[in-house]
Amino acid sequence: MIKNFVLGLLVLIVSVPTILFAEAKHMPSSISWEKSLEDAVAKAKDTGKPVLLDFFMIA
Amino acid sequence: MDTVTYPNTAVIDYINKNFIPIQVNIKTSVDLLTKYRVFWTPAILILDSRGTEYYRIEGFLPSDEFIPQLKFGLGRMALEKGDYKKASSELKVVIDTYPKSDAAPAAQYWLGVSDYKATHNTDALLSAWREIMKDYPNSIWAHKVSFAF
Repeated sequence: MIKNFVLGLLVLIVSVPTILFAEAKHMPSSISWEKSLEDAVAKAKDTGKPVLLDFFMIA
Repeated sequence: MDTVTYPNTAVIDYINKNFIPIQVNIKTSVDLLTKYRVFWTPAILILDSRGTEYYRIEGFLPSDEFIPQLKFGLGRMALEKGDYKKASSELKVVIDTYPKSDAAPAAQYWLGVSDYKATHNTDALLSAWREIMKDYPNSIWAHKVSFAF
């Protein structure tokens, strides 16, 4: 009985993160911000995409 | 934006697919602040691959207004660049997909301009603008086209 419980618990511990990871793999977790405008403009030239430049303020 | 709009999965997906995004802190990027004449945040600019600005959004927007504004910005950029086919396509998406958004009546106005620029047909312009009078009679865009009817 205890052995079955432990086995069940182990299966749960292993499978839940795997399922969550598999789900997460198909969802973008965040915006892929570039580090510098020069890099962003260079990538824009390569990809044909426009640049989205977000000015924010952290004091 | 960072706590409400940017974590939204639809926003993440749309930006990652359609833009090369970059965030800059105005406290540490005074040169860019000056170059793009930014004096308030949030300020979100759409630039072409030369770094030339074509559209800007100033002030916070929730995701259901932000995405249509970005699409509208792409439409305006295409229009200004003379790519009327792309402009009309982007603007139609705003009108059809986000008809209740603030961007929709503006998109309807500029769709008329785009169609007119592409065809030099006044009927195309008036047809698009007539839709503003019908669908968005209380918007400022209805005032802008009222002289034509």
